[in-house]
Amino acid sequence: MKVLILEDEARVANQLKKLVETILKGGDYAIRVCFELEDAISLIDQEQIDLLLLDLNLNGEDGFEILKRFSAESFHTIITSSYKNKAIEAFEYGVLDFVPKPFELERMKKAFSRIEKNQVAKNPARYLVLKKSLFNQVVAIEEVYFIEAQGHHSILGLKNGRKETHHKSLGKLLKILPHHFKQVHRSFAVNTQVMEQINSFEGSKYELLLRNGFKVPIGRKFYSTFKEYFI
Amino acid sequence: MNSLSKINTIWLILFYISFLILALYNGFNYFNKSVIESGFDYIDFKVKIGDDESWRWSDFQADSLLISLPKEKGVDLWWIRTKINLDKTLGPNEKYGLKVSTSGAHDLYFNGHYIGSNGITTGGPGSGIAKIYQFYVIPDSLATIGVHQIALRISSKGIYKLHYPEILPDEYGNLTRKPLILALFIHFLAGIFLFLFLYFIIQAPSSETKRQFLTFSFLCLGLLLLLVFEYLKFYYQYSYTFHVFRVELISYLTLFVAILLPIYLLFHYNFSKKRWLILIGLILLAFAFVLSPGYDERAYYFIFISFFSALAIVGRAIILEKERHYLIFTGVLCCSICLFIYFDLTLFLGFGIFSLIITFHYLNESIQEKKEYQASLLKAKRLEVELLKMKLQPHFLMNTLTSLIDIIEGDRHQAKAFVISLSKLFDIINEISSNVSIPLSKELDLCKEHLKIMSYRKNVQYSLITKSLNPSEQIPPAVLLTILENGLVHNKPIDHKMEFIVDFEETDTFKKYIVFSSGKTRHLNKEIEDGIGNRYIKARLNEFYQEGNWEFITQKEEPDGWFTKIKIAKNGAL
Repeated sequence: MKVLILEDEARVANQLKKLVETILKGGDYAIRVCFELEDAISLIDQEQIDLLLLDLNLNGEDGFEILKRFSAESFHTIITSSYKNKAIEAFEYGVLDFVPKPFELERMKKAFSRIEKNQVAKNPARYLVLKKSLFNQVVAIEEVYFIEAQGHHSILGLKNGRKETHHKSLGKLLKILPHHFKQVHRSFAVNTQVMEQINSFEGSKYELLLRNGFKVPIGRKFYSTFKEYFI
Repeated sequence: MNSLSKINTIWLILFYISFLILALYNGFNYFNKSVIESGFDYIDFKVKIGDDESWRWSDFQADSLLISLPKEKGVDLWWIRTKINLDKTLGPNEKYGLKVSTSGAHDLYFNGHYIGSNGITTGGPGSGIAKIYQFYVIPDSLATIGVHQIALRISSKGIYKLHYPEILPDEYGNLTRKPLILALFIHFLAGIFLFLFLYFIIQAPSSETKRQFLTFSFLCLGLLLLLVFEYLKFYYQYSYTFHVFRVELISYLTLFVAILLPIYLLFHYNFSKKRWLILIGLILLAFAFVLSPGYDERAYYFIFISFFSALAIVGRAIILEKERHYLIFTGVLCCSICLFIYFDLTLFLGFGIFSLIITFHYLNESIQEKKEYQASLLKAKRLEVELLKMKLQPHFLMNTLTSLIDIIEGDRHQAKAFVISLSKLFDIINEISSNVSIPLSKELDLCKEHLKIMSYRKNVQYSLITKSLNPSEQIPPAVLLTILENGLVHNKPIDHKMEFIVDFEETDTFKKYIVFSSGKTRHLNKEIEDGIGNRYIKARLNEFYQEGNWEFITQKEEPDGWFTKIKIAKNGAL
C-alpha cells in the first residue's frame, strides 16, 4: 500500500509516519511525506497512491478546496485535523474517515481497517467529485442512479441520463456512499431509491429499470434480495 | 472646501447679514416711536408745573397746561390731566379700578373728586417718597360709562427725571389678578433656570467640559436673577428709589447674560482666539452702555450684540467643522425673538428655549458617550478573547500537542525545553491579554517563545533579529506576533531557515516599525486579503493609537520576503 502524508508540520508528519508504519508493519507498504501542497500534487501525477492522509489546515490554504480536488482521485482519503467540527463537512466530500489530532494508535487503526474490511465510512458522502481537465465537477449523491465498474475506475449513471467517469473503483465508492447504494451485479451498483421495476427475460435473465429509463442488469446471486424491494 | 459647502457658506452669510439689517431696522423703529404713541392711550393729555388745587376740576380751562414733560430735574410739584374712557359694563359685584404708577408720590382726582394717594405730596419731610404702583377702587357713583377726567398731583422731589405716569382703568379684580397670572408663567420659567443652574454647576467639577458647564450654569443663574428682578413688580410694592436700583441691577444682569451667551459658545466650539473676540465684544457692549439713551435701549442693544456674536460663532462652527450644529443654531435663533417682538417676556422665552436645547444637546451627548464607552469596552473584551483564542485555537494547540508527543518519543531534553517554552508563551499571553499596550520587550519575548515552539514543530530554524529598538516603548499586544505568524503561514522557508528582522525608525512627525519576513512567498497568484490576523492588528492599532493616527502596510520584497510597516503619527493625524 502506498500512503501519502500531506502535513505542513514536520513533527506531526513524523508522528503520522510512525503510526502508519506501526499499523502496516509486516505488509507491503511505502510512505511518502509532503510538506507543501504543490509537492503532493506533482507526486500524485507521477505515482499511483492508495491512501492520502490529509491535514485540512495547510499553510493558510483552504482545506476544503484541497479536499475537493483529491476526493476526485482514485485513492481513499483520511483527514487528519485539529478541527473536529469540520468532520461532518469533510465526510460530505467522500472521505473514508476523520482522525483528530493528537493521534491515538487505536483510532488510526480503526480508520485503516475501513480500507481493508468491507466496511463503509462512518458518515456517507453527500457529493462525488468528478475529475475534469479544467475544473472538477461536484455531483450530489441523489443525482447518481447507478455505478458501473470499469477497470480501476467506474462509470456513474446520472439522473440527467449522462454517464461520467469517476476515478475511484466501484468497491472504493461503495465504501463511502450511503447504504441505499447496493451492488446489483458483479460490476454494477444502483441507487435503490430510484428503482422502478424488474424486467425478466428468458433464461432467468433480469434487469432493473430505473426512474430515468436506465436499465441495469441484475446478477443471478443478487436477484433474490432485489426481488424483495418490489413485494 | 467643496462647492456644496461653499454655497452653504454663502447662504449662511447672506442670511446673517439680512437678519442683522432686519433686527437693526426693527430696533430703530421700536425706539424712535414717541413714548406717547407707544405707551398708553392718553386723551387730552396736559402737564403743568406748580401746584393749584383748582387744576383738579374737569371744567378748569386746560389751555394753560403744557403738552409735554419739562426737562428740568427735581421738580417738586406738578400736575397731569388726562381723560379715560370707561366702556365696559360691569357685573353686579364688580367695581372699576385704576392702576396708577408715577415716579413719586401722587394724589388721584377722578372728575375732580379726591380718590386717594400713594404717599405725601404736601411737601416737607417724606414728600415724594411713595410706592411706585398703586391700585384704586373708583366709587360706583363716579364710575359711569363714558369719558372721565383724571388729575394727578405729583411730587417728584428728589427724583432726577419726570416720567409719564401709567394710568390703567379696568375692573378692579382683573387689574390686580392679571399680573399674577403672568407671574405664574414667569415662575415656571424661573424654575427651569434655577434647575439648569443647579444641575450644570453640580455637574461641572466632574465634567470634561468644565468651562462650558460653568459658563452655561452662570448664564442660567443670570437669567434667573434677571427674571426675579424684572417681575418683582408683581408682588413687591417698592418705592421709586428701589425702582431705580432695580432698573440699574436689571441693566447689569442683562449685560451679564449678554456677555455669557457668546462666551459660553466660544467654550463650546473651542475657539482659539477667544481673548480677542471677547475684547471686541466687550468694546461693543461698552459702546451700547454709554450711547443708549435709556435702560430699555441699553438692554436691547446688549442682547442685540450678544445674539449676533453668538450667531456668528455657531455659523463659523457650521462652516468650518461641517458638523451638524443646527440644533444649537436653532437654539441661538430663538434668543432673537425678543429683538422682534416686544422686548421683555420674549427675552426669557427665547433664552428658555435656548437653554432647554443646550440641555438636550448635553444629554444627547452623554448618552452617545455612554454608548461609545460601552462599545469600546466590548471591543476591548473582544480583542482580549481574540488574543487568547489565537493560542487556544485547535490548530495551534493540537499541532503543538501532537508535536510534543513526537518530541517526547524522541528526545527527553528537547521535550522539556519545548514544554518550558510553551508555558512561558502562555504565561505572557495570560499577562498581556487584557492590556491595551505592553512594553516592546514583552512583545519580543512573546515572539521569541512563539518562534522557538514553531522551530520545534516545523523543524525550521526561525530567528528574530532586532535593530535599534527601544524595549520600554509601548505597543499594542500581539501585533508583532501576528505579523510574524503571517510570515510563517505565507512564506516558505529556504534551506530550513527563516529570518524575521524588526527595525524602528523615528522622525519628528512619526514612528515606524518595520518587520521583514524572509522566505519564498507561497501564494504568489493569490490576492492577499485581510484575514483574521490583519483585522486583529488593525483593531489593536485603532484601540491604542486611535483611528487615523497609524498606517499599516504590507509589501512584497523581491526576490524573497515581505515587508510589513506600521507608521504611527507623533502629533495629530498622518
